[in-house]
Amino acid sequence: MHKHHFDTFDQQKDASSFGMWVFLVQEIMFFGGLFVAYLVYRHQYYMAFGTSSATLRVDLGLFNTIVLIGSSLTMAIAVNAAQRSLQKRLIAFLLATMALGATFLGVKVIEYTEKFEKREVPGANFCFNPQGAPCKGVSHEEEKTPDLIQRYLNGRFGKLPGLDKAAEHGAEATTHAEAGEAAAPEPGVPGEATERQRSMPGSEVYFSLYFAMTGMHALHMIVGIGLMVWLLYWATKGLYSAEYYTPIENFGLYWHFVDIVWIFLFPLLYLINRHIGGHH
Amino acid sequence: MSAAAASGHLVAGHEVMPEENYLSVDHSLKSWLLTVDHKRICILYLLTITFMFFIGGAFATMVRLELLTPAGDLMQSDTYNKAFTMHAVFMIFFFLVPSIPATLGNFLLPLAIGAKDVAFPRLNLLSWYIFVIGASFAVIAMITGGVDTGWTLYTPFSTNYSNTNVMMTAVGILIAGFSSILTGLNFIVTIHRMRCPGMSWFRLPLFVWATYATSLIQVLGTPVLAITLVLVALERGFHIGIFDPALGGDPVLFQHMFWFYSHPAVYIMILPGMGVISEVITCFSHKRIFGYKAVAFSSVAIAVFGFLVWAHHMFVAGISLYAGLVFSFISFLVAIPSAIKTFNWSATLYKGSVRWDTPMLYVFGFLGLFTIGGLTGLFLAALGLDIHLTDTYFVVAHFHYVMVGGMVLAYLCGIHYWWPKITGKMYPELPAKAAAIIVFLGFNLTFFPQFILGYLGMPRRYHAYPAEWQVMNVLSSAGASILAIGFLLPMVYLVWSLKFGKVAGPNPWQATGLEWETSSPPPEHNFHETPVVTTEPYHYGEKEREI
Ligand SMILES: [Cu+2]
Repeated sequence: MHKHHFDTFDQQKDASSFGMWVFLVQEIMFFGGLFVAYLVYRHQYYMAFGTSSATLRVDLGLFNTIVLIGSSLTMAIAVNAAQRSLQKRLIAFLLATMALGATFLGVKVIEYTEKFEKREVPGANFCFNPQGAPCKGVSHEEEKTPDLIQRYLNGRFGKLPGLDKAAEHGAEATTHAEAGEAAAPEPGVPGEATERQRSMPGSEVYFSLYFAMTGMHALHMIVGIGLMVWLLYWATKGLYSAEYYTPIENFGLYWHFVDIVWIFLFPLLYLINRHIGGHH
Repeated sequence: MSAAAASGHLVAGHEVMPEENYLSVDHSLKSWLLTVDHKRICILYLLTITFMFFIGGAFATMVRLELLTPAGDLMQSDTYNKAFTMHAVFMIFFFLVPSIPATLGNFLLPLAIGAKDVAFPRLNLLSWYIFVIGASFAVIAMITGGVDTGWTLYTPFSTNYSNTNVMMTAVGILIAGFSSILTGLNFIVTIHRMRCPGMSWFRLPLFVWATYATSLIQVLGTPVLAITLVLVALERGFHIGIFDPALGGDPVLFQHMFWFYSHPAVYIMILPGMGVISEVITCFSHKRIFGYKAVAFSSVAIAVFGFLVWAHHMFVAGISLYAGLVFSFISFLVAIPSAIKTFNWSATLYKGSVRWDTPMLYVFGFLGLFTIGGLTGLFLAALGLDIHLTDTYFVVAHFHYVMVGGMVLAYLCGIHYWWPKITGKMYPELPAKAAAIIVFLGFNLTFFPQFILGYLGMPRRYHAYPAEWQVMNVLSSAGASILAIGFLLPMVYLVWSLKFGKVAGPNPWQATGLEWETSSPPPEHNFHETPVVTTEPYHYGEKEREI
């Protein structure tokens, strides 16, 4: 069964899972670069990060968190099924994991689309100005969809700071350190400042990181789903059993890793500015 | 065997090539392009990086030609910017980083630990293909106009202002980086899991220890470069704002992230060279290495310290004075493991029976040049002096003393030392010795004047300079042409030796180490029987003592 260059089957299995762990270390360093950038800018633009973060839909983020944790569970069951040579269960739970992964990505598409509509995507069209003039082409603030959790909290605790609080924070921010870096027109650019230049200082950095981090995470999910198609193909051929399940197990490690990355992304991107019961 | 040992490598003349070896199993092109044999993958890399080396060399030629005269007359400043950038991009990412690990590392690692192959042979082949794809991107970027940002790709110039092929070059480097990560991963697992019976950690050849330390850096450092390049590409392509000061981003963060990889990367480039030197110096002193454990652990120490010193490239970039102090201090610390190695190598020579074969000439060249390169690094690690020397030719000279005087010499040393093992043929000794001496002389003539130029204040990356510096620049360019001859010569006689060289036999140097116990070239699966190790490494001279 084992490949020729290994002495024993155990050695091969051992090498494969060790290799997977080394690969995950590499992944940690990859995402680590992004997290360091986040840390630096969260420190530098503390208020802007809070204000920008409040525009994210916590309900969708929470839903996705549950979906991903659920997919880790189905993946764990799939690994267990492979170890016990339960072919049908393996296939079923691989499919379930794929479905949950696809659900996550679908929700991400909804969230991204909303960001495009609200001009909160970094680039020439970027506009984020909660305390100033509304952005052209974007409906006014109260028409922005407050998320379900916000609505629930509003109902339960009375009107709570959601997007309107964001605006207050924004106003506060200009009196703070960031005021010095208010988006003045670039030197040498004649005429009026663009909407992008008048945006809240630091907010575009936040949204850049939001898209870079969730984008890299989503890319890993897409790769994961692709790999699952491959595993599924071989699973239907009956390749995996109690004697040989290393690929399933290693893929499980990868999938859990991607899940854990999200467990860090969710609070850092969605939850940094949510309070119950008023201001602090 | 002891009679053969007494008569030295002359015995090679009586040897016959083994009929069954990894080269003779199949001659078709397909068998090469689909091979999973680590020895053949070594050859694939060897051809690829040699090609890359000559592209990088062509740009070096352009740079040295321009600098013959004080006026910027041969090319315009824009062209010159591209010339030095492309020189560095090809030499660093497509030659130096893969050089020893991907060629000699690939060939020797499984042999040296008594394994049939690396842990993941197909991944190994995939790494080569990924490397070739990355290199193709860089070559296409070069053909379609080149890139002018300097190899450091500093933002916001690279993201917002340069109108050259930054994107394609960055993608090429990113792809080659994945190849580097996968090679490192493969080697780490191989060293942990594939050692033959009896091959304990402290019986590993020092080349393996050096490769291990290198692989650690490849796996831990390269991903940070990868994400940094992704952010640069996103910023250039989609105008997101992470490093752009106009959008509130911080270009200094880019420098931190870039150097977090790129400082350790110089250890990716030098550590395997140190491994080669350790092997060769013991063999040609015919004496056990002095301080085995110290040399082994100093490799790991260099890898670890190497991750803590990156900001010494940024002393004038506006980092805080206190950060500067700490980074300066730790940079000095890196000198300790490097010095441990140098002292141990020198002590190995003491009372050894030193032979002056070509690989040993390169060892002596390495020892001298690496020492100069290392000590001038201390000048640059000193906060105050660095302010004077930053971005001058002093830095250029320092870097080339370590990278060319150190790494390229070690690479040539290793290629000559293991050439009989890889090809089964001896290279001709006389032209090889001549080439080694030409390289040494040409190198010093090229780069020593640059220390003086840098000390006098000549900045790097300009195509024109004041007339009083012309003499030194002419010396440097003259040296470069001598150096070029030294690099071209091995191309000729090594290829010649494939057909006309003497048959080497399994162990022409009477070296210890498992790779010398199998035939030259080795059979497809390396050993006819799995070897069992019963002795410490480098038991030179012990056989004679027994008799
Ligand atoms: Cu450095």
